[in-house]
Formats: sequence, C-alpha cells, structure tokens
Amino acid sequence: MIDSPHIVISDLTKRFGKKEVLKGINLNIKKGEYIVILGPTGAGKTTLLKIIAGLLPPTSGRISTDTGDITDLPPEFRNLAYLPQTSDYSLFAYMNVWNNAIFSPKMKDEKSLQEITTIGNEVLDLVNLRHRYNALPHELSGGMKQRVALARAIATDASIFLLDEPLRALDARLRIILRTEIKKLVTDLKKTTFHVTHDQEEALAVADRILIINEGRIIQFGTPQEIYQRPKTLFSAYFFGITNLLPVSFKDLKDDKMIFSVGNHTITALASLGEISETSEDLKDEYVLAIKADSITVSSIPSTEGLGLNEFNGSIENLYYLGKWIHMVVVVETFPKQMVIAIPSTEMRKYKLNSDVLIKFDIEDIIHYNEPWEKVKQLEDS
Amino acid sequence: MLQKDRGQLDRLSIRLANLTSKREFNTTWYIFVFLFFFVLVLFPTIYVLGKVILEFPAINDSVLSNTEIQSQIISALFYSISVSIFVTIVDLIFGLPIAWTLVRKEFRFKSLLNSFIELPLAVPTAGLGFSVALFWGVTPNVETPIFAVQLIKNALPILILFHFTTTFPYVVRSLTAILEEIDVTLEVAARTCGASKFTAARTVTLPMFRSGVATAMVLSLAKSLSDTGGVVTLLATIQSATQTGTTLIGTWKHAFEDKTPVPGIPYDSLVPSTAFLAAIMIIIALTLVFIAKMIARNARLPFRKVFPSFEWTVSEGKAPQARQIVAFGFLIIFVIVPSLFLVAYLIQGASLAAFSSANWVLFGQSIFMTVLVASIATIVNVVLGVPMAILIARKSDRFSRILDAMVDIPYVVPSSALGLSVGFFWTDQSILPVNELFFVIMAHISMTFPFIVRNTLGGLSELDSAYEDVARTLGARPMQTFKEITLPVIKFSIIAGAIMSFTRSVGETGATLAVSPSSITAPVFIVNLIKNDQNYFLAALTTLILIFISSLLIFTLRASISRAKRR
Amino acid sequence: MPTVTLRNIGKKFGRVVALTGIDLEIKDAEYLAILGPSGCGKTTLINCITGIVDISEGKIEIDGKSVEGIPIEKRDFAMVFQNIALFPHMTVSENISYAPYVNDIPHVELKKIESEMLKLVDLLEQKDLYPRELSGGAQQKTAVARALATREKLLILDEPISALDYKVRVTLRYAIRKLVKDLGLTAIHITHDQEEAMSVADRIVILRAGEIVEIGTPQQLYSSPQTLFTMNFVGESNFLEGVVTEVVSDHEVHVSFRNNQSLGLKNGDPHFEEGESIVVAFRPENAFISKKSIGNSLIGEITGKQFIGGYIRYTISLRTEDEIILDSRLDIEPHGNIFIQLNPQEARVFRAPTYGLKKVLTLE
Repeated sequence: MIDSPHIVISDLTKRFGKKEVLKGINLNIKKGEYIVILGPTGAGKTTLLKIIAGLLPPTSGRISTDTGDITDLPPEFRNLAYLPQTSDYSLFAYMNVWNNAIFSPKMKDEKSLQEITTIGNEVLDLVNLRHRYNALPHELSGGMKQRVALARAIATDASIFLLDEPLRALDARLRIILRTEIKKLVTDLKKTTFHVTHDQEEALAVADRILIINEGRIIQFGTPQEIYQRPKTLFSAYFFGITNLLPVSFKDLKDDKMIFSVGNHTITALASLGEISETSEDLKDEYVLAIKADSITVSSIPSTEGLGLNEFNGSIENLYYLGKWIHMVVVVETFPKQMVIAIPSTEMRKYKLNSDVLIKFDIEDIIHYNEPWEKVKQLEDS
Repeated sequence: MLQKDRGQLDRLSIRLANLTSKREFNTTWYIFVFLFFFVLVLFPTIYVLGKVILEFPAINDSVLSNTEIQSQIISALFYSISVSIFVTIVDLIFGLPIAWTLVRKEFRFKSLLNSFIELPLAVPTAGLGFSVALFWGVTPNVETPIFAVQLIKNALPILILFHFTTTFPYVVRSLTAILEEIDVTLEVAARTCGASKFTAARTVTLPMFRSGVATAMVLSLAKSLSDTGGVVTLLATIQSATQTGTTLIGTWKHAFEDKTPVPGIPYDSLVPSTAFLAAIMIIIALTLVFIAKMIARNARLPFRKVFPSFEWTVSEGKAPQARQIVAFGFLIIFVIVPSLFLVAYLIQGASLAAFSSANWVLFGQSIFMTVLVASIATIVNVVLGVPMAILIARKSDRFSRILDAMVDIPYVVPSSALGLSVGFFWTDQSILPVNELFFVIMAHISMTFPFIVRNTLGGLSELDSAYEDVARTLGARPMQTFKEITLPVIKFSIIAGAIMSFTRSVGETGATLAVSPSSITAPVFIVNLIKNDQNYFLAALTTLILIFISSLLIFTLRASISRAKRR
Repeated sequence: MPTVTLRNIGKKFGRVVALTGIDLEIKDAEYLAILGPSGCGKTTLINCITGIVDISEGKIEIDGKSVEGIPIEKRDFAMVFQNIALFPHMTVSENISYAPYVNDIPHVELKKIESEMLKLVDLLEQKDLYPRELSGGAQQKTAVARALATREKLLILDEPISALDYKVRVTLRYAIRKLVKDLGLTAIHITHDQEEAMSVADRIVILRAGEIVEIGTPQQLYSSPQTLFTMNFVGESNFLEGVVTEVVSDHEVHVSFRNNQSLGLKNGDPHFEEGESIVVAFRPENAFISKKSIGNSLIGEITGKQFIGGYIRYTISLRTEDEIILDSRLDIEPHGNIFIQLNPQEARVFRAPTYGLKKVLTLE
C-alpha cells in the first residue's frame, strides 16, 4: 500500500509563448511521500505546482493519481490542497479563522452543517488555534497565519498537498521551528506533499526525496543523502551545502583512480565518483572538482615532512563564526582558489588567523565533473 | 444531495453556482458581453466617423463649400482646443502640490479637504456653469449675491475659469491615486544620500510619476473638450454668443429638430454639418489624448543639474508652507467657491413669487427622468462591465490588451459628439422602432461604461489572483469563487464606479441634447430655464436637488468604505 | 570618527510602546548587528537613529553630537534598505552617483567616485543596466555602492540581504563585512537571521518586544548566553525542566527530571539551592550518543532520523517524557535504547522562569 504510486507525471512540458518553462518532467511519487522541489528563481518550480493543481494546462504530458488521469480535470475536482506564495499565506483576509478553516467543506456541499462544524473544530485543534476562531487574519502573527492555512488545507480531506514556499515570509528562526511542525503534521496525516523552496537547508531538513530542477529540467531526484553526497551534476553539487569548486587539469588515469593537477599540486580522486568523457579523443583536460566544506579535515599542525595523499599545507586567511560551525578560509599556495572548510565551533580555539594548517581531502568525498572552468564562475556569479 | 439542512437561498446559490460554472455557460456569457461592448457601446460611439467617411461627397458639397459653416466650426474648435489645453496645464501645476500634500502629509483638516475636492463632481455641470458665471462674470440679467467678483465679460477667460471647476477634481484624484503607489522608501533613500526633500521629489518621485500625469492629462482634456451643459448656461448667463464645439453640435441639432433657421446656413446643410463637426471633435479628442500620453511617456525634465543650496531653501522653513498656501488657495478660490456659489444665490433669491411661478410639473418630471435614465444605465453597466473587467484583468493575452485600450474610447469622445453618433446609429437602423428615451439611455450607457470597467479593474488589481486559485483548489466552483473571494474585495470599487457612472449620467447635458432635444432630463431642464426662460431660481433649485442626490451617494460610499477599512 | 550613543531611548506610537530604555554605545569602526524576531522593534530603532521617526524620550548622539531636530538628509550616515529601493528610472551608475549628483559635485569628481564604487562592488560590466535587469544580488550590491558613495563613515544596513536566495546571501554577507572592514566604517546591521548576524558582526544586540535582552560577541551569545531566550533564539536548543536535588559544589549540581532520570551537571553562577526548579539547555551538537550504557546519561529512543548535509539529525524521545533533537556525524541504528551524555562545558543550567518556559521562549 505504502509503495503503490500515488502520483505519476509523464512527459510534462509547458510553454509560455516561445519560452519553454518545463521541458519533459517524469515523476513517480509514492503515497505519503514528502517531496521537496528545489531550484533557483525561474527554474519552473511554481509552474510545475500550478500544473499539478490544475491552474495551468500543460502543453503536453499527462498527470494521473490513484483515482485516474486528472490532466483535464478543473482544480476543484482534483482533491488536492494548494498553498500559493502570497503575502498573507493565502488566507482570505476578510473571513475569520473559522470561516477560513471550513471554506472547503462549505463550498463542496457534501457534508451537513453538523459535520462541517466537527471538521472545523478538529482542524483548528490540530494546529492549536481553536481559541482564536474569531480572529481575522491580520490579527494573527505570521506563524499563526501559516497554521490556519494548513488547517484550511487539512479540512479539504485532500490526499495531496502542494505548498509553494510556505515559510518564505517568516523569520529565520521561526522557519526552522515551523518546517518541522509542518512535516510532522502532514506525515502524521499520511498526505503526499510537494513543498517548493529555494532554501537547500530547509530541503535537507524535511524531505523524503528532493527534486532539483533547473531551467525546466530535472537535474536530480533522490534522498537528501544521495543528493548531498553524490550530486550528479556540477549544479547540484554547488547548490547544496558550502561546496568548494576547484578547477583542475586531468593528468592521468591509473586503475580506478584519476589524477588531477592543480597549481604545483596533484589531487587523486576515484574514477567512479563523477563523470568521465566517453571517447578518449575529446577527453578534455579541463575538470572541476566539487569538495564539500564539511568533508575536509584540518589539523592545526602543518606537515613538515612529506605530505600524504591529498594533503596540503595552507594558511588561515579568515575565520567566520556561525554558532554551530566555523567557516575557515584557507589559502593553499598555487591553488586557483581559497578553500572554505566547515569545522565544529567547539574546535575554534585551536586555530588562529594567519597560522599554518594541514588540510586533507578524503578520496571518497571528491566528485569530479568534466566541465569547462568558466562554469565555476557562471555558477558562483548567478 | 446533502442540502437538507441549508436554507432555501443557500441551496439556490449552490445550484446556480453549479449551473453557471459550466464551461458552455461561461463562454456564452462572455461572448454576449463582447458583442454588447462592440455592437452597442463602442460602435455607436464612433458611428458618426463612418457615416462622415461614407457620405463624404454630400458633406463636401454642403459643408466645405459654405464659408459661414466653416468659420463657425473653426471659431468653436478654437475655443474648445485652446481652453482644454490651457486648463490642463494649469491643473497640473496646481494639482501636483495638492496631491502631494494629500498623500504624504498628515494634517488636521485632511479628510474634510478630501471630501471638498470631490464636491464639484456632485454638481451637474449645467448648474456649475451658472454658478461660475455668477461668481466671476458680469451678468446683465441676473441679480448676483453680494460676494460675487463680477469681473469677466469675455467668453475665453470665463470658459477657462469654468473648466477649472470641472477638471481639477479629476486631476487631483488621479494624481493622488498614482502617488499612493510610489514607494516612500525611495524618497527616504534619496534623502539618506543627502538630497533635500525638494530634490528627492524632483529627481526621484516625479520621473516615476509619468503614468499619473498621463492619466490626469487625459481626464482633464477629455472632460474639458466634452462639457456642454455647463458651457451653455455659463455663456447664456453672461450673455455671450460664443460657441464651443460641443455647444455648436447641440445648437445645430436643436435647430434641425425645431426647424428654426440658422443665419447663413441652409436647413439641408444642418445635419451633414453637425455630423462633420462631431467627427472632427472625435478625431481631435483622440489625437490630443494620444499626444498627451506620448508627452507624458517621453518628456524629460528640463533641469538635470541640481542646485543644492537653492533647493534646500525651498525645502525648509516657510517655503513649503508658502507653496501649499498657494496651491490650496487656488483650490478654494478657483474651484470650490465658484462651484458652490449658486447656494448663495439660492438663499438670496428665495421668495414666494419665485416659488409660485415655477413649473413644478416639469420640474418633477425632469428629475424623475434623470434618475430613471441614470439608474438603468448604471445597472446595465454594472452587469456587463464587471465581467468585461474580469476578462481584461485575468486573461492576459493580446486580445484583452486591445480591449483594455478600447474601453476608454467612449470616455474620451466628447459627449455631445457621442450623443449625436449614438442618435445616428439608432435612427439609421431599421430593426427597432424609434424611441427617444431608449436612445438617451443607450447614449448614457456608452458614455458611462468606462467608469465601471476602469474602477473594477482597479479593484481587481488589488486582489492577487492566487487567492482565486486557492479557492478553486479548495473546491469552490468559478461562480462560488467570484462570490466568496473576488466580490468582497472588488465590491467597493464596483460601487465607486457605479456612483461615478450615476453622477456623470445625472449631470450630463450634451449627450442627451444631441440624441434627443425633446427629452427633458433635469440638466436639460436647467439649461432651458437659464437660456430660454431666465428662471434662474428654479434652475438653481434643480441643481441643488441633483447635488443632493449625488453627494448623498458619494458620502454614503465614503462612509461605508471607511467603515469597512476600519474593520 | 563615527560613534553612536543611545541613551535611554523610548518610542511610543499612540499608546503602543515600541521601544523602552534602550541604552547602547556603538564604537568607532565596530560592526554591530541588531537581531530580533519580527515585531521586536528593530526597524523602529533604526528609524529613530536615522530620523525617519522621532523618538519619544531619550537622546541619540552621533559622533558625540545630539541629532535632535536634524532631518534625515543632514544626519551623517549612509543607508542600505531591505527592499533595496534602487531608483528604477536610473541606471546602475546613475544610482551609484546619486549622492554626489544631488550635492552638485563637479562632473569629473563625480565620475571618479562612480568608477571607484563600481570597481569596489565589481559591477563595471553592468553599469549601464537598469535595476530591473539585474539579479537580486547585483541589485543589492548597487544599493551598497550607492550608500558608500555618500562617503559617510557610518553605514546602516536594514535587513540588507534577507530577501535574497540562500547562496547569494552567503556570498554577499561576507562581501559586505569585508567592505566595511576594509574601509574602516562603523556599521549597524539589522537582521532576523541569527546566522547572518553571527557571520558579519563584531557584537550582537538581541532585541525583544522593544527591549534589549542581551549584548555580546557571537561566541558569547551562542555558547554562553545569559538568558533562555537567547539560548533558543540564537541557534537551536533542547530544554529540559528539572529540579536541583543536590548542590555538590559551587560548580556542580545534581538535577532530577521526570521518571527518576537524573544528571550531574557543571555550572558556575548562578548558584542554585536544593529543591530549586531549573531548566537545562543544550545545543543539539553538544551531546554524545551511545548504544552502550554509560554513566551520567539520559536514556531514550530514536524516533526520527534525517540526513542534513554534513551530519544526521536524530529526534529522540527521552525517558523524561521530553523530545529532543541531536546532531551527530555517526550513523546510529534507530532501534533499542540509547544513552545520551551532555557535553559538560556546553550544557547550561538556568533558573526556571516564573511564568513558564513556553512564554520565555516564544518568538512571536
């Protein structure tokens, strides 16, 4: 039951005039999954959500759920709840909390007034706002408004939730609290959820699976761990966490290891982690390595003798304290770029500005991409 | 099925929602709205243009060969065009600081002033013309109240003074509407860069203000080219024989109906001459509006250089105060007092003789007819204008953009030209029998249609369509969505549009005269009283009744909106 | 050189009190962040300093001179706005040279300032574009350059990057700090994002409901906060309510929780007495999880496990009937009992608040 597909999207495309916003989306979503859709501004996230909701017709492609093909159904018959990105959490401003909460059953006319009252009480209890039933939206705080919007969605009895940046307008700290709250609420009710965001940390924190889209295409679809540790493209490698993108030159392929040169140094990576050109003729020597800031190990004692595999001496140019983490900026001579390293802040006292350190890349944590070096600048500037 | 425990009305509304949400129903309804707009609103409005082109040989023979007709037309157009351009420029100069003060400053009499600015809108122009003439003009036949200025004998200056009262409120209102939308932080940002208040306003806000200036110019030009009733009573009161474009249309049309000869013009030439003049007025109005929009879009301020110390002086201390005093002085002396001066006359002129000599039957009939015409026109426009506005706002394709541009045409066309054109349209068709009251209503519908559409569009732009989307996904049918989500937000805009449409219709003279000189609405009644009967007292009283009806509506609206906003 | 002194600032809007008793000294060349949840009064505080609103009581001095009665344009500061507020009808270079332009600085000089600023924020290639043609990050860089072109030494930043995407935020916050430090400016930076505040500021002021809660360096506020509110607001924390059962020494107490769970904890002041209600607070990363039984630990079960980038977040149900979150790099099987030991240096003990824990922690 849990593994039966709930939503199947096949070959979905969308054009606005000449502009192709979605270029062939194929997805298979399980019942009760919490899917986070992630991508930069203009990637097509909202368009995808609106097409699923039935608010925009797709140019081609089909959408079906466990109840059958829904591609041509108007939104009110799709049995889903949609929270768009609006200034006020899409609450109806002149209706009080109660009328917002019971809007859907009232409109649908399938329930008696008695039943509607029961639903209203239930959903407001779920979000702990029954005592505010008579308040107008503008009298509530941001977090409360978001909870009312959720209650209203739950009252639809829909099995699919579509949330477009539900936390965008909230304070950073409140965002962290509410994202967990939302996830818990909808998974307890076994809803299948799409949650659009552009915040990668939010995505990692709540997603069962993350869907990365860029320029209307699926870049990668997988669990947070897969996406974080084994990003398929340079784009997703850069997008998650703090990632060092290092332009390097291919030197040699030995057994299962690839050797790259950078400045006066060499870096060894596993051939299996990343992409390699298929034909040797156009095996270009421009590669980009992606190394996560939190995967690099540092030692406050620089090596005076020989350096081991993927070990380098450098000096600390900057230290940024972020609470849980410290971002350490290390300059390695002849490296084209500074390396950013994330270490737990408890280790802060071991390091001083401008002092020398030894850094080491774990061979398991280096992903290589056969991409031109300009790609790095393009990504970092956008 | 489960509607057992709901009231009759609830059940009915759900059934209605289900029925009206059918795709076929929607399509049919929208096609009907389109046809109505194009066939019965827009086409009649500019019908006369086609007529003139088709019958050009005849017009060529009768009009262009007659120097008397030509000289009358040229003189009338000279007055119309020069007055409207001059008035528009002066309105902008004084309107800008007033709009600025009303939007950006808090002061004690602000809400009072806000209501005062709208007052002239409630005065039917026929009465307004009389009132302005009493205040400024030398009036040989009328005994004026004591405070009258009694200075002006010539047509041109008094026409200008009169048009301040009809256009200034529109200019200030459209400027404040746009100014409210410009982000104040931009001015603050400019000031943190060291710009004085004046410099910040001049270099940052003003250049972003072009659309407001364009709207204000269009409104002012259209309104001043269009006015008929006011001009007739104004010039009649100071005993001037001058004609403007719109009054000339009325005079000729009247002469044709009454079969009274006009010196120098053969009777057979009257109809083609009127048609020709109306067509020219329409073309001139559309051209002026187009030019105004181009100027507002492309004009740059002549001074790029900043003079910090000079601009500091005008930003600080007494200078802003002096500027405001001048602007508000203009408002009071040139707009508010002349508009309401007829009240003074009424108080002074009240006497038993005046009451007993009045034609009370005609008085009652004319007011009834005015309210009837205005009510029907407004109701029809609300029913058809709101769907049209929704179509324009929510379907953003090329077609809706074209519609958007066309909606304003009936507003821009001078109303007597519009009336004439609508009259031609309906008499030339052979399906419906000739009924003058029906023609008058149709003319008023065309004339006021833009008010409803524009206001509704304004309301719709304040509602993010995402709210409608949410309602749909929550299970509401399109009709339920409209009723529950859209209507509560736009209802005040619709009511505001309806009231504007109603007051405009109540005050309209030119269109009525041009469609059917024999239909005596209240403004026509006022014109006749002043021009022919010289019964000024009854004219003033009729005006006051109309002011009362209109301002009652306006103030109820203001009160209910501010009550709704407080909630 | 710019210093800003606030003495007992109060601000009321009608009967609503927005700020009370704000005392603050901002040193020359200091980067100060004002951090607080929305509605805490931080924008009002900035508006008081800049002169956008008048203060109801107290005194503000910039460079030792009172600014009372001085209009915005004559106070010596530069400002970057939350909504960016670039002039939409001017190009990037016209925006940047706005300050010299309105002060009628000679053209040659103006051009010099303009190109210097363009270079500083790396926007030379985009200088002829209009704001709407720029990305969010480039827009805010333009706004920073426009502010710096005033040549003022006091820079006020009102939530300068909170509207931008995460990646851009990270890059830009370091860029802004570097600019401020390189040019030796005094900066006041408002934000609701504690990570942003910690990454840019020398000192952070925590504001809540119109009052200052705490002032300190990022390290002080994160690792040894003086209030429960700060503990919760600046980074995530777990809170366990308990009772002191034994005071071992000045630096050590024994605490018991529900269901006979207990811990020995180290703590300096305040000094607790036996029987006193307390709250133990610790960060999710400051605990050690073990599958084997260890001393001085709490027992619980893992109920949730989510991979979050460089670490795994565990949700744990404790025997004490509390639910806590812990971050660890270790991959632990989620069934069976686990034992949790708190890092003694980093766990903090607070006196239980009079009106309940929930009220003290609430952010809205």
